[in-house]
Amino acid sequence: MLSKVVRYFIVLLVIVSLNFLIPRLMPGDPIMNLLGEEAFYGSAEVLEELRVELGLDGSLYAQYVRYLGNLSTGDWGYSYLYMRPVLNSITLHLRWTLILVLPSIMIGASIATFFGALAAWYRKSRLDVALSSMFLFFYSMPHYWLAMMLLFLFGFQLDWFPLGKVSGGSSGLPYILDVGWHMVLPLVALTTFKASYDFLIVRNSVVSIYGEDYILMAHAKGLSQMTVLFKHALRNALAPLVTVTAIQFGAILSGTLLIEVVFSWPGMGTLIYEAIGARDYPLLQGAFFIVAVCMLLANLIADVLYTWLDPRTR
Amino acid sequence: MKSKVARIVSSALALVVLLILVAGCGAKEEPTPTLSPTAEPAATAMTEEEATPPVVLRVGSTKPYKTTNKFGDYWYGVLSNLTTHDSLIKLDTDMKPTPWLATEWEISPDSTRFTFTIADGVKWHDGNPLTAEDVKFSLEYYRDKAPRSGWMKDVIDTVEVDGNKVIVNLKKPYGNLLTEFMTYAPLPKHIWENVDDPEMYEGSDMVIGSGPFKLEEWDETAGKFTFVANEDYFQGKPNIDRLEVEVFSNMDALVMALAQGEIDVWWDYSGEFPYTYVPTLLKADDIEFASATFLGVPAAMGFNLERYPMNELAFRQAVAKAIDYEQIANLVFHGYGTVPSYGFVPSTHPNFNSSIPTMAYAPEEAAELLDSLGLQDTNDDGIRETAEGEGLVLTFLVRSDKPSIVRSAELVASNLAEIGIGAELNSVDSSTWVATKDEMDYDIVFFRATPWGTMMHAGHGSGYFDSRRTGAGVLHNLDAREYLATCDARLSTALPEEQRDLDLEIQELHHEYLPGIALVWIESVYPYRTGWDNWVIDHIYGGVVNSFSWFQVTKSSE
Repeated sequence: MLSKVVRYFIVLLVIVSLNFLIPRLMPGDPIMNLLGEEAFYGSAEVLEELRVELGLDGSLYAQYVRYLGNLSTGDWGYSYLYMRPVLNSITLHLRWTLILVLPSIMIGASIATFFGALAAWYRKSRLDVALSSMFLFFYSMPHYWLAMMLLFLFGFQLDWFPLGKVSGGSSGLPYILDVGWHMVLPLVALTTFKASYDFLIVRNSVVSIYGEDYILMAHAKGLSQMTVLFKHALRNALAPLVTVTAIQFGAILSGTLLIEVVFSWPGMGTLIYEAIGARDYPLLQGAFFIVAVCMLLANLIADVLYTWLDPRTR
Repeated sequence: MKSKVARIVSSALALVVLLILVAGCGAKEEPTPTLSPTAEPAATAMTEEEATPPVVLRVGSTKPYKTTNKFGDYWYGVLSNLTTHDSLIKLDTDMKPTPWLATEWEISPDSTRFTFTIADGVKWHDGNPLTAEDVKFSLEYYRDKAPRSGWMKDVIDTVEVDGNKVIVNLKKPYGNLLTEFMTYAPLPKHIWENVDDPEMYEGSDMVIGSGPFKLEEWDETAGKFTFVANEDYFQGKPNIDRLEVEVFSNMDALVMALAQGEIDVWWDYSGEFPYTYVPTLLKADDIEFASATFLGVPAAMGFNLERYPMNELAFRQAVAKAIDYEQIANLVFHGYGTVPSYGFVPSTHPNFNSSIPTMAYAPEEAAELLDSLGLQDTNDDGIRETAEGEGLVLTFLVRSDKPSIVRSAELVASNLAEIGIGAELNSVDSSTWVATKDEMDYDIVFFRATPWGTMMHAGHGSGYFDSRRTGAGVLHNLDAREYLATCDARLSTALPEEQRDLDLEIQELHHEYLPGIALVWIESVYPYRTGWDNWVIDHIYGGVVNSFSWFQVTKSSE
C-alpha cells in the first residue's frame, strides 16, 4: 500500500513539472492578452513592470523553482485572468463541476449496470436489440449536439427548463431547488453520454461471464434468473466498469467543456479553456494539478475497489 | 452481499431522481424567491406610493466578465463606462463631442493646453462630491498606474486645478485628446489614492463611480450584474430603474433567451450581431431591429510590407482587384455588407472621403498587373512563379476566434487562386495570432478593426497601420514618411478645418499606399424586444445599449 502511494507521488511530481513546462511552450504572451486588443502600451518598460508584478520575469528555471517553492507552502499563485488567487477560482469552478459530474457518473453507471446486465442476459432477444440500439444511438451522437438539442427542445420550445446557467440568483432552500432545476438538462446530457458508453462495457462483460461454470452451478441449484444475474454474475462483471469509471472521473473534470458552454455552466472545463486562451500559466498549473490529483485518487480507489470486487487479484 | 449493494445503489438512484423532480416542480411553482409572506405588508405600503411598476431592462451579453475591477477586467471596464462611471465628454450619434462631466472646454491655439469646466452638483455613489481635484487625480493616476494608458506618459505633462476647472498641459500638441478622454472615467480620489496596484484591488468600494447606475450585485455563479438607478444623478434619474446584465457562455442560449422574452436586448461592445441568428429572431414574435452602419471594419487584410512581393504597390493593387467583395458581403455577412472603398473606414466616420473610389472585382486587370510585375505561370501548374522560379504561395495569418474572418480568408484564398496566387491558411488562436503578427511572420494577415480601434491614434484606421503604434490588435506595418508625418500633423491640431483636411488626406494615403484592404463594410443590426422605443445608437460603445439611451429609451406598458 505504501509503495503504491509513493509511486503515485512520483507520478504527481512529474505531472506538476510537465504542467509547468508545456503551457509555457505555447506561442503567445499573457501580458498582451491582459492588456486587450486596443491597448497602446507605449514602451517595453511598462510590459516589464507587469511581468515582474505577475511573476513572469526571470528565466524559466527560476520561475520553476519559485513555483515549486510556493506550491509546497500552499501558495498556488495568482491568476491574472481572474485577478485573484488561483485557489479561489479553482474551488469555485470545481464545485460546479463536481455537482454535475458526480451524480452523472453515479446515475450513468447505475443505468448502464442495470440495463447492460439485462441486455446481456437476454441477449439476442428483442429487449437486447432495443436496448443496444438505443444506447448505441446515443453513444454515436456528439454529446454537445445532444446537449444543444435538449436545450432547444426542453428549454426553448417547451420552456420547461431554463436556458442554462446555474441559478437565477436566490438563496437558502429556494436556491438549492433552483440549482436542481437548472441542473436537470446538463445532467441528462452528461448521464446519457456516460450511460451509453458504460452500457456497452457492462453488456460485454456479462456476456463473457455467461458461459462460466459457476453460472451453470447457480442455475443447477435452482436459483431464479434474476438472482443468478444480479447476485452472482454482475459482481464479477463489474470490475471493468469500475476501471472505466475511475478513468472517466479524471477525464470528465476537464472534458465537459462543450456541455458547459452550451449551458453556460461555470465549471472546470470553461476555466481551463479560458486560461489557455489567456495564457494564464498559474491558473493552468493549478487546474491541471487538481485534475491530476483527482485522476490519481480515482485510480487509487479503483485499484482498491478492484481487489475487493475480485478476490483473485489479492 | 450483492443484493445489499444493489439495494444501496437503487435507493441512491431513487433519491437523486426524486430530488431532481422535486427541484423541478418546486422551482417552477415559485415565480420569484423574494415573494414570501413577510413581504406582503411592505407591498401594500408600496402600492400607496407608486402606482407604476419599476422599469427593468435586461441586457444579454456573452463577454467573459471576471471581476468588478475596472482595471483588472477589460470587459467590466467597458460595462462600467456605460453604467457606474462617467467620462468628461462623450461622442454622440453624429460622432461629435458632447459635454458630459465637462460642461465646456477650451483648447489653446497650439493644442497644448486643454481646459475643462467640471459640472456642478455631481456626487459619487457614496455621497462625496465629485470635484476638479478628483479629475486631476484620475488623469495622473491613469497616466502613472494604468498599463493600458501608455500614451498618456508621452502626451500629458501636468494637470492643474483652478476652481472648478481642470487644466491639462501637454508635452506636445495632441488634437485627439477629447476623443481619447471619452474612454476614461474620473475616479474618486478618496478611494484610489491609497491603492498602488489598481488591477489587483479587491475593496468593495472599487465599484463606486458617479454614473447613472450603481452596482447592486455581481452574482458570479448566476452570471448576472444588477444595477440600480442613481436617483441623485447630476443629469437626472435615468428612465430605467433597474438594469440587469445576464451573461451567457454562448450566443445560441442568448438568442433563445431574447426570443423567449427572458432578456430585452443584446449588447456587444466591439463586435457585430452574428447574422446567422437573424432568421430565428425574425420568426419570433415581438423582436425589432435597430440598425446603423458599423463604425469598424469586421474583416480586413493587411500586407507584410517587408516581404516580396507584398512590398510592390502593383502587387497589392492586383490583390485588391482580385477579390470578389460582393461574394464576401453575401456569403459571410448574409447580405448586410457593402463593398468598401480604398480609404479603409466606412462613411459613419466624420470627414469621410467620398472621392476615394470603391473597390471592384476585376480579375483580368489584376492578372495584367501581375504579368507586368514579371510574375508568370512558367510551368503551367496554376501558380505564378517569381523571377527566381519560386512558386507564389502566400502565408495567410488568420485569427480563429472570429468565424467570419476565417470564412472571409477562405474566400479570398479561392479568389487569389483564380489569378494564380496560392495561399496557405494559418488559422490560430488569438494569443498565437498576436505573437506571430508582431514577429511579422506572415505574408498577409487577416484581422478586424473595432469601432474604437478605427478612432485610435490619428483616427480613420491609422492606429492599425502606423508602424510606431504597439498593441495586440494592430499591424504597425506602414512606415512611409509621408504617412507618419500626416498622422503627426493630425495629432498636433485641434482646429476643425485642419483636422478635416488631414482626415481626408489620411484616407487618401490608405488608397495610395494600400497597407491594408477592408473586405467589407456592414449594416450592423441591434435586436431588441417590442415595447422599448427611442433607443439612441452609439457607434463606439456598440448599438443601442449606451449612456444616451438610458435617458431616452421608454417602455410602453403592456
